[in-house]
Amino acid sequence: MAELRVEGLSFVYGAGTPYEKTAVSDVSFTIAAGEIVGVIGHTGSGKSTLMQLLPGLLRPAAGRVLLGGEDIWANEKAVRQYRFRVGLVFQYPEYQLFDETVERDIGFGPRNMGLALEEVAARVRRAAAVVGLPERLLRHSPFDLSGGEKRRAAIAGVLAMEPEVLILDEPTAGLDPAGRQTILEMIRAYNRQTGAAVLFVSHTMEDVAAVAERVLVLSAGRLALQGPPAEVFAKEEELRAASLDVPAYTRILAALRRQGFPAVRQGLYTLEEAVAEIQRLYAEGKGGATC
Amino acid sequence: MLNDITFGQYYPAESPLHRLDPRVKLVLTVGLIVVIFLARVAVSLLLVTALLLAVTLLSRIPLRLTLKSLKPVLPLLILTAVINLFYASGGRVVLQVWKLTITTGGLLTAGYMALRICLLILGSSLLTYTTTPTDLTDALERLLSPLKAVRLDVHSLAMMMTIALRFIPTLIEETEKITAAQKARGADLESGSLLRRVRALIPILIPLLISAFRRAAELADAMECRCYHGGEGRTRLKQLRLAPRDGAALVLFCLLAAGVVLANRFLPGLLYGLFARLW
Ligand SMILES: Nc1ncnc2c1ncn2[C@@H]1O[C@H](COP(=O)(O)OP(=O)(O)O)[C@@H](O)[C@H]1O
Ligand SMILES: [Mg+2]
Repeated sequence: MAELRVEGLSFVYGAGTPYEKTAVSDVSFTIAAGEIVGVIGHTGSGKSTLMQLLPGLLRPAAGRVLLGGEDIWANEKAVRQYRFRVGLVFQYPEYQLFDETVERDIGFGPRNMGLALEEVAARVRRAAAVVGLPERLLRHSPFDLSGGEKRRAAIAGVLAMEPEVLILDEPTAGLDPAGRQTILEMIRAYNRQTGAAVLFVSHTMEDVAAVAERVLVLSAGRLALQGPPAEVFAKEEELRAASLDVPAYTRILAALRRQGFPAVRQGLYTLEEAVAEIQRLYAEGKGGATC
Repeated sequence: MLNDITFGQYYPAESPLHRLDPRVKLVLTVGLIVVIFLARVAVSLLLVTALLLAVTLLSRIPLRLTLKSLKPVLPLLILTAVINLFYASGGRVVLQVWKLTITTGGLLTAGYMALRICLLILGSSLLTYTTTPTDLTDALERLLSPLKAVRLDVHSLAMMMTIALRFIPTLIEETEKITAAQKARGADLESGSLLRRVRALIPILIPLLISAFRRAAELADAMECRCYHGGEGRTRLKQLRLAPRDGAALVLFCLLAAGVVLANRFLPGLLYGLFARLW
Protein backbone atom coordinates (compact mmCIF):
# COMPACT_ATOMS: atom_id res chain seq x y z
CA MET A 1 0.00 0.00 0.00
CA ALA A 2 1.50 3.26 -1.11
CA GLU A 3 0.92 6.82 -0.05
CA LEU A 4 -0.52 9.29 -2.52
CA ARG A 5 1.08 12.70 -2.56
CA VAL A 6 0.16 15.80 -4.51
CA GLU A 7 2.52 18.74 -4.94
CA GLY A 8 1.53 22.16 -6.26
CA LEU A 9 -1.12 20.68 -8.53
CA SER A 10 -2.90 23.00 -10.98
CA PHE A 11 -5.31 22.40 -13.83
CA VAL A 12 -6.77 24.76 -16.44
CA TYR A 13 -9.73 23.93 -18.70
CA GLY A 14 -9.67 25.27 -22.25
CA ALA A 15 -6.24 26.87 -21.94
CA GLY A 16 -5.75 29.49 -24.65
CA THR A 17 -9.46 29.82 -25.51
CA PRO A 18 -11.93 32.49 -24.40
CA TYR A 19 -13.44 29.85 -22.09
CA GLU A 20 -10.22 29.40 -20.10
CA LYS A 21 -10.90 28.39 -16.50
CA THR A 22 -8.48 27.49 -13.73
CA ALA A 23 -10.27 24.70 -11.88
CA VAL A 24 -7.48 23.60 -9.51
CA SER A 25 -4.63 25.81 -8.43
CA ASP A 26 -1.56 24.98 -6.39
CA VAL A 27 -2.97 22.15 -4.30
CA SER A 28 -0.70 20.02 -2.11
CA PHE A 29 -1.57 17.22 0.32
CA THR A 30 -0.69 13.66 1.25
CA ILE A 31 -2.99 10.68 1.70
CA ALA A 32 -1.30 8.12 3.93
CA ALA A 33 -1.79 4.41 3.29
CA GLY A 34 -5.02 3.14 4.85
CA GLU A 35 -6.42 6.58 5.64
CA ILE A 36 -10.04 7.64 5.04
CA VAL A 37 -10.20 11.24 3.84
CA GLY A 38 -13.26 13.32 3.06
CA VAL A 39 -13.22 16.13 0.49
CA ILE A 40 -15.73 18.95 0.78
CA GLY A 41 -16.23 22.12 -1.21
CA HIS A 42 -18.91 24.24 -2.83
CA THR A 43 -20.18 23.28 -6.32
CA GLY A 44 -17.55 24.31 -8.86
CA SER A 45 -14.75 24.43 -6.31
CA GLY A 46 -12.76 21.91 -8.36
CA LYS A 47 -13.41 18.68 -6.47
CA SER A 48 -14.20 16.54 -9.51
CA THR A 49 -11.28 17.98 -11.45
CA LEU A 50 -8.91 17.23 -8.58
CA MET A 51 -10.24 13.68 -8.33
CA GLN A 52 -9.59 13.12 -12.05
CA LEU A 53 -6.04 14.43 -11.72
CA LEU A 54 -5.18 11.80 -9.10
CA PRO A 55 -5.41 8.70 -11.35
CA GLY A 56 -3.91 10.62 -14.27
CA LEU A 57 -7.14 11.02 -16.26
CA LEU A 58 -6.33 14.70 -16.66
CA ARG A 59 -2.84 15.98 -17.14
CA PRO A 60 -1.86 18.70 -14.64
CA ALA A 61 -0.85 22.10 -15.98
CA ALA A 62 1.63 22.30 -13.13
CA GLY A 63 2.63 20.17 -10.18
CA ARG A 64 3.04 16.45 -9.62
CA VAL A 65 1.04 13.44 -8.49
CA LEU A 66 3.22 10.92 -6.67
CA LEU A 67 2.13 7.37 -5.88
CA GLY A 68 4.56 5.70 -3.52
CA GLY A 69 7.06 8.41 -4.42
CA GLU A 70 6.83 7.82 -8.20
CA ASP A 71 5.63 10.61 -10.47
CA ILE A 72 2.72 9.07 -12.39
CA TRP A 73 3.47 11.24 -15.44
CA ALA A 74 7.18 10.34 -15.51
CA ASN A 75 6.42 8.00 -18.41
CA GLU A 76 3.35 9.03 -20.36
CA LYS A 77 2.77 5.51 -21.72
CA ALA A 78 2.70 3.98 -18.25
CA VAL A 79 -0.01 6.22 -16.77
CA ARG A 80 -2.61 3.54 -17.48
CA GLN A 81 -0.93 1.21 -15.01
CA TYR A 82 -1.47 3.73 -12.20
CA ARG A 83 -5.20 3.78 -12.89
CA PHE A 84 -5.45 0.21 -11.59
CA ARG A 85 -3.76 1.31 -8.37
CA VAL A 86 -5.67 4.57 -7.90
CA GLY A 87 -9.29 3.61 -8.61
CA LEU A 88 -11.71 6.42 -9.35
CA VAL A 89 -15.49 6.06 -9.09
CA PHE A 90 -17.05 8.97 -11.00
CA GLN A 91 -20.14 10.83 -9.88
CA TYR A 92 -23.28 8.93 -11.01
CA PRO A 93 -21.16 5.91 -12.04
CA GLU A 94 -24.31 3.96 -12.98
CA TYR A 95 -24.28 5.75 -16.34
CA GLN A 96 -21.10 3.97 -17.36
CA LEU A 97 -22.54 0.42 -17.18
CA PHE A 98 -22.46 -1.22 -20.61
CA ASP A 99 -21.90 -4.96 -20.64
CA GLU A 100 -24.38 -7.81 -21.09
CA THR A 101 -24.29 -9.01 -17.51
CA VAL A 102 -23.43 -7.37 -14.21
CA GLU A 103 -20.68 -9.95 -13.79
CA ARG A 104 -19.01 -9.02 -17.07
CA ASP A 105 -19.36 -5.31 -16.35
CA ILE A 106 -17.70 -5.59 -12.95
CA GLY A 107 -14.99 -7.72 -14.60
CA PHE A 108 -14.17 -5.04 -17.20
CA GLY A 109 -11.43 -3.44 -15.09
CA PRO A 110 -9.77 -6.71 -14.00
CA ARG A 111 -9.86 -7.97 -17.64
CA ASN A 112 -8.15 -4.78 -18.74
CA MET A 113 -5.47 -5.52 -16.14
CA GLY A 114 -4.77 -8.71 -18.08
CA LEU A 115 -5.63 -11.03 -15.17
CA ALA A 116 -6.42 -14.72 -15.64
CA LEU A 117 -10.13 -15.59 -15.97
CA GLU A 118 -10.33 -17.36 -12.59
CA GLU A 119 -8.73 -14.38 -10.89
CA VAL A 120 -11.19 -12.03 -12.63
CA ALA A 121 -14.12 -14.18 -11.49
CA ALA A 122 -12.81 -14.28 -7.91
CA ARG A 123 -12.37 -10.50 -7.81
CA VAL A 124 -15.85 -9.92 -9.21
CA ARG A 125 -17.33 -12.06 -6.42
CA ARG A 126 -15.29 -10.28 -3.74
CA ALA A 127 -16.22 -6.83 -5.04
CA ALA A 128 -19.91 -7.78 -5.30
CA ALA A 129 -19.77 -8.98 -1.69
CA VAL A 130 -18.21 -5.71 -0.48
CA VAL A 131 -20.97 -3.61 -2.06
CA GLY A 132 -23.63 -6.11 -1.01
CA LEU A 133 -24.85 -7.21 -4.43
CA PRO A 134 -26.50 -10.66 -4.21
CA GLU A 135 -24.92 -13.42 -6.35
CA ARG A 136 -28.08 -14.00 -8.38
CA LEU A 137 -27.96 -10.44 -9.72
CA LEU A 138 -24.56 -11.06 -11.31
CA ARG A 139 -26.16 -12.89 -14.24
CA HIS A 140 -28.71 -10.10 -14.89
CA SER A 141 -28.31 -7.28 -17.37
CA PRO A 142 -27.04 -4.18 -15.54
CA PHE A 143 -29.93 -2.25 -17.10
CA ASP A 144 -32.50 -4.38 -15.24
CA LEU A 145 -31.19 -3.39 -11.79
CA SER A 146 -32.76 -0.77 -9.55
CA GLY A 147 -31.08 2.64 -9.24
CA GLY A 148 -29.33 1.79 -5.98
CA GLU A 149 -28.19 -1.61 -7.28
CA LYS A 150 -26.80 -0.01 -10.45
CA ARG A 151 -24.78 2.40 -8.33
CA ARG A 152 -23.39 -0.46 -6.27
CA ALA A 153 -22.59 -2.55 -9.36
CA ALA A 154 -20.71 0.41 -10.88
CA ILE A 155 -18.73 0.94 -7.68
CA ALA A 156 -17.93 -2.77 -7.61
CA GLY A 157 -16.48 -2.33 -11.12
CA VAL A 158 -13.76 -0.14 -9.62
CA LEU A 159 -13.36 -2.15 -6.39
CA ALA A 160 -12.70 -5.27 -8.47
CA MET A 161 -9.40 -3.75 -9.60
CA GLU A 162 -8.52 -3.74 -5.87
CA PRO A 163 -6.90 -0.29 -5.98
CA GLU A 164 -4.54 0.83 -3.23
CA VAL A 165 -6.23 4.21 -3.19
CA LEU A 166 -9.99 4.27 -3.75
CA ILE A 167 -11.49 7.59 -4.82
CA LEU A 168 -15.22 8.22 -4.92
CA ASP A 169 -16.69 11.42 -6.36
CA GLU A 170 -19.96 12.14 -4.55
CA PRO A 171 -20.82 8.45 -4.17
CA THR A 172 -23.99 9.21 -2.19
CA ALA A 173 -25.42 11.89 -4.52
CA GLY A 174 -29.09 11.33 -5.23
CA LEU A 175 -29.50 8.40 -2.82
CA ASP A 176 -32.01 8.10 0.02
CA PRO A 177 -30.67 7.96 3.63
CA ALA A 178 -30.65 4.14 3.63
CA GLY A 179 -28.76 4.04 0.32
CA ARG A 180 -26.30 6.61 1.64
CA GLN A 181 -25.72 4.52 4.75
CA THR A 182 -25.00 1.45 2.61
CA ILE A 183 -22.37 3.31 0.60
CA LEU A 184 -20.68 4.67 3.73
CA GLU A 185 -20.60 1.18 5.28
CA MET A 186 -19.06 -0.04 2.05
CA ILE A 187 -16.32 2.59 2.19
CA ARG A 188 -15.45 1.51 5.70
CA ALA A 189 -15.61 -2.19 4.80
CA TYR A 190 -13.27 -1.84 1.82
CA ASN A 191 -10.84 0.21 3.89
CA ARG A 192 -10.88 -2.33 6.74
CA GLN A 193 -10.62 -5.45 4.57
CA THR A 194 -7.90 -4.30 2.20
CA GLY A 195 -6.08 -1.58 4.11
CA ALA A 196 -6.51 0.73 1.10
CA ALA A 197 -6.75 4.49 1.51
CA VAL A 198 -10.12 5.99 0.62
CA LEU A 199 -10.73 9.52 -0.57
CA PHE A 200 -14.35 10.53 -1.00
CA VAL A 201 -16.11 13.71 -2.06
CA SER A 202 -19.35 14.57 -0.35
CA HIS A 203 -21.79 17.43 -0.06
CA THR A 204 -23.14 16.06 3.19
CA MET A 205 -21.11 17.30 6.13
CA GLU A 206 -22.74 14.68 8.36
CA ASP A 207 -21.39 11.85 6.15
CA VAL A 208 -17.89 13.30 6.16
CA ALA A 209 -17.99 13.75 9.93
CA ALA A 210 -19.14 10.17 10.42
CA VAL A 211 -16.60 8.43 8.18
CA ALA A 212 -13.53 10.57 7.50
CA GLU A 213 -10.41 10.65 9.66
CA ARG A 214 -9.28 13.77 7.88
CA VAL A 215 -11.03 16.44 5.81
CA LEU A 216 -9.81 18.48 2.85
CA VAL A 217 -11.73 21.68 2.13
CA LEU A 218 -11.57 23.09 -1.40
CA SER A 219 -12.56 26.64 -2.21
CA ALA A 220 -12.29 28.13 -5.70
CA GLY A 221 -9.73 25.53 -6.76
CA ARG A 222 -7.51 26.02 -3.70
CA LEU A 223 -7.06 23.89 -0.62
CA ALA A 224 -8.60 26.18 2.01
CA LEU A 225 -8.36 23.92 5.07
CA GLN A 226 -7.29 20.43 6.04
CA GLY A 227 -7.21 18.43 9.22
CA PRO A 228 -9.24 16.07 11.43
CA PRO A 229 -13.03 16.68 11.30
CA ALA A 230 -13.08 18.07 14.85
CA GLU A 231 -10.54 20.72 13.89
CA VAL A 232 -12.05 21.62 10.53
CA PHE A 233 -15.63 21.79 11.75
CA ALA A 234 -14.55 24.02 14.63
CA LYS A 235 -13.52 26.67 12.08
CA GLU A 236 -17.01 27.81 11.28
CA GLU A 237 -15.87 31.19 9.94
CA GLU A 238 -13.48 29.69 7.38
CA LEU A 239 -16.11 27.17 6.30
CA ARG A 240 -18.63 29.95 5.79
CA ALA A 241 -16.05 31.78 3.66
CA ALA A 242 -15.83 28.66 1.48
CA SER A 243 -19.67 28.65 1.24
CA LEU A 244 -19.87 25.55 3.44
CA ASP A 245 -21.63 24.72 6.64
CA VAL A 246 -20.87 22.67 9.74
CA PRO A 247 -22.80 19.40 10.30
CA ALA A 248 -26.43 19.81 11.40
CA TYR A 249 -25.65 18.20 14.77
CA THR A 250 -23.02 20.82 15.52
CA ARG A 251 -25.52 23.54 14.57
CA ILE A 252 -28.19 22.09 16.88
CA LEU A 253 -25.77 22.01 19.81
CA ALA A 254 -24.66 25.59 19.08
CA ALA A 255 -28.32 26.66 18.99
CA LEU A 256 -28.90 24.98 22.36
CA ARG A 257 -26.02 26.97 23.83
CA ARG A 258 -27.50 30.19 22.55
CA GLN A 259 -30.92 29.23 23.94
CA GLY A 260 -29.58 29.22 27.47
CA PHE A 261 -27.75 25.94 27.92
CA PRO A 262 -24.20 27.14 28.50
CA ALA A 263 -23.17 23.66 29.66
CA VAL A 264 -23.36 22.27 26.06
CA ARG A 265 -19.92 21.16 24.94
CA GLN A 266 -18.53 22.34 21.64
CA GLY A 267 -16.56 20.45 19.01
CA LEU A 268 -19.06 17.61 18.64
CA TYR A 269 -19.96 16.79 15.08
CA THR A 270 -21.43 13.29 14.71
CA LEU A 271 -24.92 12.03 15.41
CA GLU A 272 -23.75 9.72 18.19
CA GLU A 273 -21.89 12.48 20.00
CA ALA A 274 -24.82 14.88 19.70
CA VAL A 275 -27.26 12.30 21.03
CA ALA A 276 -24.97 11.48 23.95
CA GLU A 277 -24.52 15.16 24.76
CA ILE A 278 -28.25 15.89 24.76
CA GLN A 279 -28.90 12.81 26.91
CA ARG A 280 -26.25 13.99 29.36
CA LEU A 281 -27.83 17.43 29.52
CA TYR A 282 -31.24 15.90 29.99
CA ALA A 283 -30.07 13.65 32.82
CA GLU A 284 -28.30 16.53 34.55
CA GLY A 285 -31.30 18.76 33.98
CA LYS A 286 -33.54 16.26 35.76
CA GLY A 287 -31.27 16.42 38.78
CA GLY A 288 -30.98 20.20 38.55
CA ALA A 289 -33.68 22.71 37.76
CA THR A 290 -33.00 24.00 34.22
CA CYS A 291 -35.06 21.52 32.13
CA MET B 1 -9.92 15.20 -29.12
CA LEU B 2 -13.57 16.22 -29.38
CA ASN B 3 -12.64 19.77 -28.49
CA ASP B 4 -10.96 20.11 -31.85
CA ILE B 5 -14.19 20.41 -33.81
CA THR B 6 -14.07 24.10 -34.61
CA PHE B 7 -16.23 24.16 -37.70
CA GLY B 8 -19.55 25.62 -36.68
CA GLN B 9 -18.52 26.75 -33.26
CA TYR B 10 -19.59 30.08 -31.92
CA TYR B 11 -16.75 32.41 -30.90
CA PRO B 12 -17.94 35.11 -28.52
CA ALA B 13 -16.64 38.60 -29.25
CA GLU B 14 -17.85 42.17 -29.57
CA SER B 15 -17.87 43.05 -33.24
CA PRO B 16 -20.18 44.61 -35.84
CA LEU B 17 -20.41 41.18 -37.43
CA HIS B 18 -21.64 39.58 -34.22
CA ARG B 19 -24.31 42.25 -33.91
CA LEU B 20 -25.62 41.84 -37.44
CA ASP B 21 -29.11 40.36 -37.77
CA PRO B 22 -28.74 36.58 -38.19
CA ARG B 23 -31.23 36.62 -41.08
CA VAL B 24 -29.09 39.12 -42.92
CA LYS B 25 -25.96 37.12 -42.22
CA LEU B 26 -27.60 33.96 -43.50
CA VAL B 27 -28.78 35.64 -46.70
CA LEU B 28 -25.39 37.26 -47.22
CA THR B 29 -23.61 33.95 -46.77
CA VAL B 30 -25.81 32.29 -49.39
CA GLY B 31 -25.24 35.31 -51.60
CA LEU B 32 -21.51 35.09 -51.06
CA ILE B 33 -21.51 31.45 -52.17
CA VAL B 34 -23.29 32.43 -55.39
CA VAL B 35 -20.87 35.32 -55.98
CA ILE B 36 -17.86 33.05 -55.42
CA PHE B 37 -19.10 30.78 -58.19
CA LEU B 38 -19.95 33.73 -60.40
CA ALA B 39 -16.45 35.14 -60.08
CA ARG B 40 -14.89 33.70 -63.19
CA VAL B 41 -11.94 36.05 -63.62
CA ALA B 42 -8.97 36.82 -61.45
CA VAL B 43 -9.92 40.40 -60.69
CA SER B 44 -13.33 39.43 -59.33
CA LEU B 45 -11.89 36.58 -57.27
CA LEU B 46 -9.34 38.96 -55.78
CA LEU B 47 -12.14 41.39 -55.01
CA VAL B 48 -14.04 38.70 -53.08
CA THR B 49 -10.87 37.63 -51.27
CA ALA B 50 -10.07 41.19 -50.22
CA LEU B 51 -13.58 41.77 -48.93
CA LEU B 52 -13.66 38.48 -47.03
CA LEU B 53 -10.31 39.28 -45.40
CA ALA B 54 -11.54 42.71 -44.37
CA VAL B 55 -14.72 41.23 -42.90
CA THR B 56 -12.72 38.60 -41.03
CA LEU B 57 -10.54 41.30 -39.50
CA LEU B 58 -13.69 43.21 -38.59
CA SER B 59 -15.14 40.18 -36.80
CA ARG B 60 -12.32 40.12 -34.19
CA ILE B 61 -11.92 36.39 -34.63
CA PRO B 62 -8.29 35.24 -34.39
CA LEU B 63 -6.98 34.51 -37.88
CA ARG B 64 -5.49 31.26 -36.58
CA LEU B 65 -8.99 30.06 -35.70
CA THR B 66 -10.49 30.90 -39.09
CA LEU B 67 -7.65 29.15 -40.86
CA LYS B 68 -8.20 26.12 -38.67
CA SER B 69 -11.61 25.63 -40.27
CA LEU B 70 -9.79 24.86 -43.53
CA LYS B 71 -8.02 21.85 -42.07
CA PRO B 72 -10.84 19.29 -42.50
CA VAL B 73 -11.24 20.13 -46.21
CA LEU B 74 -7.52 20.14 -46.99
CA PRO B 75 -7.57 16.72 -48.72
CA LEU B 76 -10.50 17.81 -50.91
CA LEU B 77 -8.70 21.04 -51.67
CA ILE B 78 -5.53 19.28 -52.82
CA LEU B 79 -7.43 16.66 -54.83
CA THR B 80 -9.43 19.31 -56.70
CA ALA B 81 -6.35 21.34 -57.42
CA VAL B 82 -4.38 18.33 -58.72
CA ILE B 83 -7.21 17.10 -60.94
CA ASN B 84 -7.70 20.55 -62.43
CA LEU B 85 -3.98 20.93 -62.90
CA PHE B 86 -3.88 18.00 -65.32
CA TYR B 87 -7.33 18.08 -66.87
CA ALA B 88 -7.92 21.73 -67.56
CA SER B 89 -6.29 22.79 -70.79
CA GLY B 90 -5.65 26.01 -72.64
CA GLY B 91 -2.72 28.35 -72.85
CA ARG B 92 0.81 27.17 -73.36
CA VAL B 93 2.34 23.91 -72.24
CA VAL B 94 4.49 24.37 -69.17
CA LEU B 95 5.48 20.82 -68.44
CA GLN B 96 4.98 17.48 -70.13
CA VAL B 97 5.78 14.20 -68.46
CA TRP B 98 4.70 11.07 -70.31
CA LYS B 99 0.96 11.55 -71.02
CA LEU B 100 0.46 14.23 -68.41
CA THR B 101 0.53 17.81 -69.57
CA ILE B 102 0.46 20.88 -67.41
CA THR B 103 -0.61 24.03 -69.19
CA THR B 104 -0.80 27.62 -68.07
CA GLY B 105 -4.57 27.22 -68.29
CA GLY B 106 -4.40 24.22 -66.01
CA LEU B 107 -2.30 26.11 -63.50
CA LEU B 108 -4.73 28.97 -63.42
CA THR B 109 -7.84 26.80 -63.16
CA ALA B 110 -6.27 24.77 -60.35
CA GLY B 111 -5.41 27.98 -58.48
CA TYR B 112 -8.91 29.40 -59.03
CA MET B 113 -10.60 26.24 -57.79
CA ALA B 114 -8.44 26.01 -54.67
CA LEU B 115 -9.04 29.67 -53.88
CA ARG B 116 -12.78 29.25 -54.42
CA ILE B 117 -13.00 26.34 -52.00
CA CYS B 118 -11.00 28.29 -49.40
CA LEU B 119 -13.29 31.29 -49.78
CA LEU B 120 -16.40 29.11 -49.46
CA ILE B 121 -15.22 27.54 -46.23
CA LEU B 122 -13.92 30.79 -44.74
CA GLY B 123 -17.12 32.62 -45.64
CA SER B 124 -19.45 30.04 -44.17
CA SER B 125 -17.39 29.46 -41.04
CA LEU B 126 -17.45 33.20 -40.47
CA LEU B 127 -21.22 32.89 -40.21
CA THR B 128 -21.06 30.13 -37.61
CA TYR B 129 -18.27 31.79 -35.66
CA THR B 130 -20.23 35.01 -35.26
CA THR B 131 -23.75 33.62 -34.84
CA THR B 132 -25.02 31.42 -32.02
CA PRO B 133 -26.73 28.23 -33.22
CA THR B 134 -29.98 29.40 -31.65
CA ASP B 135 -29.90 32.65 -33.61
CA LEU B 136 -29.08 30.71 -36.73
CA THR B 137 -32.05 28.35 -36.51
CA ASP B 138 -34.22 31.28 -35.53
CA ALA B 139 -33.17 33.07 -38.68
CA LEU B 140 -33.69 29.96 -40.76
CA GLU B 141 -37.18 29.51 -39.40
CA ARG B 142 -38.07 33.10 -40.28
CA LEU B 143 -36.57 32.96 -43.73
CA LEU B 144 -38.28 29.66 -44.55
CA SER B 145 -41.63 30.66 -43.09
CA PRO B 146 -43.14 31.41 -46.55
CA LEU B 147 -42.86 27.66 -47.15
CA LYS B 148 -45.65 27.17 -44.64
CA ALA B 149 -47.92 27.93 -47.57
CA VAL B 150 -46.92 24.62 -49.13
CA ARG B 151 -47.62 22.89 -45.79
CA LEU B 152 -44.00 22.43 -44.80
CA ASP B 153 -43.79 22.36 -40.99
CA VAL B 154 -41.01 24.93 -40.75
CA HIS B 155 -41.37 25.37 -37.00
CA SER B 156 -40.91 21.69 -36.21
CA LEU B 157 -37.90 21.48 -38.49
CA ALA B 158 -36.33 24.50 -36.81
CA MET B 159 -37.16 23.13 -33.36
CA MET B 160 -35.53 19.80 -34.20
CA MET B 161 -32.46 21.61 -35.43
CA THR B 162 -32.33 23.80 -32.33
CA ILE B 163 -32.59 20.76 -30.08
CA ALA B 164 -29.96 18.85 -32.05
CA LEU B 165 -27.58 21.82 -31.90
CA ARG B 166 -28.34 22.41 -28.24
CA PHE B 167 -27.43 18.84 -27.37
CA ILE B 168 -24.18 18.61 -29.31
CA PRO B 169 -22.11 20.12 -26.46
CA THR B 170 -24.05 18.05 -23.93
CA LEU B 171 -23.30 14.87 -25.84
CA ILE B 172 -19.66 15.84 -26.25
CA GLU B 173 -19.42 16.44 -22.52
CA GLU B 174 -21.17 13.15 -21.85
CA THR B 175 -18.80 11.33 -24.21
CA GLU B 176 -15.82 12.81 -22.42
CA LYS B 177 -17.19 11.79 -19.04
CA ILE B 178 -17.97 8.22 -20.08
CA THR B 179 -14.60 7.92 -21.82
CA ALA B 180 -12.83 9.11 -18.68
CA ALA B 181 -14.87 6.70 -16.54
CA GLN B 182 -13.96 3.74 -18.75
CA LYS B 183 -10.33 4.86 -18.85
CA ALA B 184 -10.42 4.86 -15.06
CA ARG B 185 -11.20 1.15 -15.39
CA GLY B 186 -8.22 0.72 -17.66
CA ALA B 187 -9.97 0.94 -21.04
CA ASP B 188 -7.26 1.26 -23.68
CA LEU B 189 -8.39 3.39 -26.61
CA GLU B 190 -5.05 4.34 -28.07
CA SER B 191 -3.29 1.13 -28.96
CA GLY B 192 -3.91 -2.08 -30.88
CA SER B 193 -5.21 -2.92 -34.34
CA LEU B 194 -8.08 -1.07 -35.98
CA LEU B 195 -10.50 -3.83 -35.03
CA ARG B 196 -9.37 -3.68 -31.41
CA ARG B 197 -9.82 0.07 -31.34
CA VAL B 198 -13.30 -0.12 -32.79
CA ARG B 199 -14.22 -2.77 -30.22
CA ALA B 200 -12.79 -0.57 -27.49
CA LEU B 201 -15.46 2.00 -28.37
CA ILE B 202 -18.33 -0.29 -27.34
CA PRO B 203 -18.05 0.53 -23.60
CA ILE B 204 -18.39 4.18 -24.57
CA LEU B 205 -21.05 4.02 -27.28
CA ILE B 206 -23.54 1.89 -25.39
CA PRO B 207 -23.81 4.13 -22.31
CA LEU B 208 -23.86 7.15 -24.63
CA LEU B 209 -26.78 5.82 -26.69
CA ILE B 210 -28.71 4.86 -23.59
CA SER B 211 -28.25 8.28 -22.09
CA ALA B 212 -29.21 10.01 -25.36
CA PHE B 213 -32.50 8.12 -25.45
CA ARG B 214 -33.10 8.85 -21.79
CA ARG B 215 -32.48 12.54 -22.38
CA ALA B 216 -34.78 12.60 -25.40
CA ALA B 217 -37.60 11.04 -23.43
CA GLU B 218 -37.07 13.40 -20.50
CA LEU B 219 -36.97 16.44 -22.76
CA ALA B 220 -40.17 15.39 -24.53
CA ASP B 221 -41.89 14.99 -21.14
CA ALA B 222 -40.61 18.35 -19.95
CA MET B 223 -41.82 20.07 -23.12
CA GLU B 224 -45.25 18.48 -22.84
CA CYS B 225 -45.47 19.44 -19.18
CA ARG B 226 -45.03 23.03 -20.27
CA CYS B 227 -47.82 22.62 -22.84
CA TYR B 228 -45.63 22.72 -25.92
CA HIS B 229 -47.84 22.00 -28.90
CA GLY B 230 -45.88 23.18 -31.92
CA GLY B 231 -45.46 26.55 -33.49
CA GLU B 232 -49.03 27.76 -33.71
CA GLY B 233 -49.60 31.00 -31.82
CA ARG B 234 -46.15 30.83 -30.29
CA THR B 235 -44.45 34.16 -29.61
CA ARG B 236 -40.76 34.82 -29.11
CA LEU B 237 -38.70 36.12 -26.25
CA LYS B 238 -36.13 37.61 -28.59
CA GLN B 239 -37.60 39.54 -31.53
CA LEU B 240 -35.38 40.02 -34.53
CA ARG B 241 -35.32 43.60 -35.77
CA LEU B 242 -33.40 45.01 -38.69
CA ALA B 243 -31.06 47.89 -37.84
CA PRO B 244 -29.29 50.46 -40.09
CA ARG B 245 -26.11 48.37 -40.01
CA ASP B 246 -28.03 45.49 -41.60
CA GLY B 247 -28.96 47.76 -44.47
CA ALA B 248 -25.37 48.90 -44.78
CA ALA B 249 -24.18 45.31 -44.95
CA LEU B 250 -26.68 44.51 -47.69
CA VAL B 251 -25.63 47.56 -49.71
CA LEU B 252 -21.95 46.66 -49.34
CA PHE B 253 -22.69 43.16 -50.52
CA CYS B 254 -24.64 44.44 -53.55
CA LEU B 255 -21.64 46.61 -54.47
CA LEU B 256 -19.40 43.54 -54.28
CA ALA B 257 -21.77 41.50 -56.44
CA ALA B 258 -21.95 44.34 -58.99
CA GLY B 259 -18.15 44.63 -58.95
CA VAL B 260 -17.78 40.93 -59.62
CA VAL B 261 -20.28 40.96 -62.49
CA LEU B 262 -18.68 44.03 -64.04
CA ALA B 263 -15.18 42.58 -63.72
CA ASN B 264 -16.38 39.37 -65.34
CA ARG B 265 -17.80 41.39 -68.21
CA PHE B 266 -15.16 44.03 -68.81
CA LEU B 267 -11.90 42.70 -67.39
CA PRO B 268 -11.73 39.12 -68.58
CA GLY B 269 -8.26 37.78 -68.86
CA LEU B 270 -6.61 40.88 -67.43
CA LEU B 271 -4.33 38.97 -65.11
CA TYR B 272 -4.27 36.00 -67.41
CA GLY B 273 -2.90 38.22 -70.16
CA LEU B 274 -0.23 39.56 -67.84
CA PHE B 275 0.59 36.09 -66.64
CA ALA B 276 0.88 34.73 -70.18
CA ARG B 277 3.06 37.62 -71.33
CA LEU B 278 5.45 37.28 -68.39
CA TRP B 279 5.87 33.55 -68.93
N1 LIG C 1 -14.95 19.77 -18.94
C1 LIG C 1 -14.87 21.03 -18.51
N2 LIG C 1 -14.61 22.05 -19.36
C2 LIG C 1 -14.51 23.31 -18.92
N3 LIG C 1 -14.67 23.70 -17.66
C3 LIG C 1 -14.95 22.76 -16.75
C4 LIG C 1 -15.07 21.37 -17.12
N4 LIG C 1 -15.34 20.66 -16.00
C5 LIG C 1 -15.39 21.55 -15.00
N5 LIG C 1 -15.16 22.80 -15.43
C6 LIG C 1 -15.11 24.03 -14.60
O1 LIG C 1 -14.11 23.86 -13.62
C7 LIG C 1 -14.56 24.29 -12.36
C8 LIG C 1 -14.47 23.15 -11.36
O2 LIG C 1 -15.38 22.14 -11.73
P1 LIG C 1 -15.51 20.76 -10.95
O3 LIG C 1 -14.16 20.18 -10.78
O4 LIG C 1 -16.52 19.93 -11.67
O5 LIG C 1 -16.08 21.24 -9.55
P2 LIG C 1 -16.92 20.44 -8.45
O6 LIG C 1 -16.79 18.99 -8.70
O7 LIG C 1 -16.30 20.87 -7.15
O8 LIG C 1 -18.34 20.91 -8.54
C9 LIG C 1 -15.98 24.80 -12.55
O9 LIG C 1 -15.92 26.19 -12.63
C10 LIG C 1 -16.42 24.19 -13.85
O10 LIG C 1 -17.28 25.07 -14.51
MG1 LIG D 1 -18.23 17.49 -9.02
